[in-house]
Amino acid sequence: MGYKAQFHPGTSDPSKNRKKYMDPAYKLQKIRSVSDEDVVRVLGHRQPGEDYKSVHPPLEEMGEPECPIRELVEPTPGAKAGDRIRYVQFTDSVYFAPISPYQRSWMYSYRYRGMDSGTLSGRHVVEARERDVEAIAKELIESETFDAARTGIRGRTVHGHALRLDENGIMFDAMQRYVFDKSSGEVKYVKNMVGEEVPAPISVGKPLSEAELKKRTTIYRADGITIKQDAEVLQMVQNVHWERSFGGFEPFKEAKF
Amino acid sequence: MKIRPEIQIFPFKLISKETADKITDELTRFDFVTNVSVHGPSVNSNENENYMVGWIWIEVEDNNEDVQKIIKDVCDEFLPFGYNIEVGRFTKYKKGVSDYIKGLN
Repeated sequence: MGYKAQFHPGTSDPSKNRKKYMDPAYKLQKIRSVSDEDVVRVLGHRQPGEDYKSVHPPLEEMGEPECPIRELVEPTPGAKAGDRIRYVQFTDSVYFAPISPYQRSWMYSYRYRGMDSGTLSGRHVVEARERDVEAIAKELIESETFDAARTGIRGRTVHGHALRLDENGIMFDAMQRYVFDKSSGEVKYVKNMVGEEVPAPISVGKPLSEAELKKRTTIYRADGITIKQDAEVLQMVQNVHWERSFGGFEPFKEAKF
Repeated sequence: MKIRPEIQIFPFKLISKETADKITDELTRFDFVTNVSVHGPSVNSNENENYMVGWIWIEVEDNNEDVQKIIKDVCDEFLPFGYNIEVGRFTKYKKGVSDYIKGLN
């Protein structure tokens, strides 16, 4: 087949980044490392080293009915073991965060199996089996889609994505889950996703510079790259708009831009 | 009743309570400043009272160029990332109907 998916229209930087993140063949760049225990502590669903709680016996012991779909689809490790459903939620600032909730939904759909994602204006929640959530969270926190200052791991009190940044350039967080360490220049999580204290601060590294963020972002902004600078993206948005507005009204009419 | 004008400072970043206190202290020294109020979202409200400041309203006797210049100098010192200045009336200065019903002064 001579067809190659382009994932997203356009040639501008945000457009290229969107294509990159959505393309499952592209391996997300790893820019920091956080240990497995620390990821578990930030999520706060269980203690590090604690067994996973399960809602049903492992699939092998259950004796599943004969079903061609079950043979076709390989269960995820969490589903195989019968884990509980747990979640991880990220808040993305409007000030050039590396990724925004809507693109997260697109990206996850291309990259992960056995998950359910929910998009809201400022935050994005993903639900999956517990060990799958941990694997997804680890990959996302370590990757280029996470910035220490403009992305937050927040289970509740997520408000703040559209508020002004603070004096250190950190996104507003009413629960102060993460603090900016002035001596090392790093952002450290002192509370887990839902605001409970963690035993020791968890460092997620230094925030990226403004110039670097503008290069990595998927957000079109008036003070960065606007959507009008990318003709192909604008065309797509206008197409969608036309079809939403007139598609059900007089569908035989041709779109006119 | 004389309605005094207010000067609103809108910093381009949410400033900490400490920085806002510094600005407030600096401004209240001047005679022409009759009141300074700050406003912003609260943080960590369960444990202790803390907040970030996003708006500063300076009530002045009279708004003129000299007053604006002094206020701008103070802002330039503490808000290096930029701010907007607007003149108007941003806080309540007299009883409203609901205050009257509640018996508030």
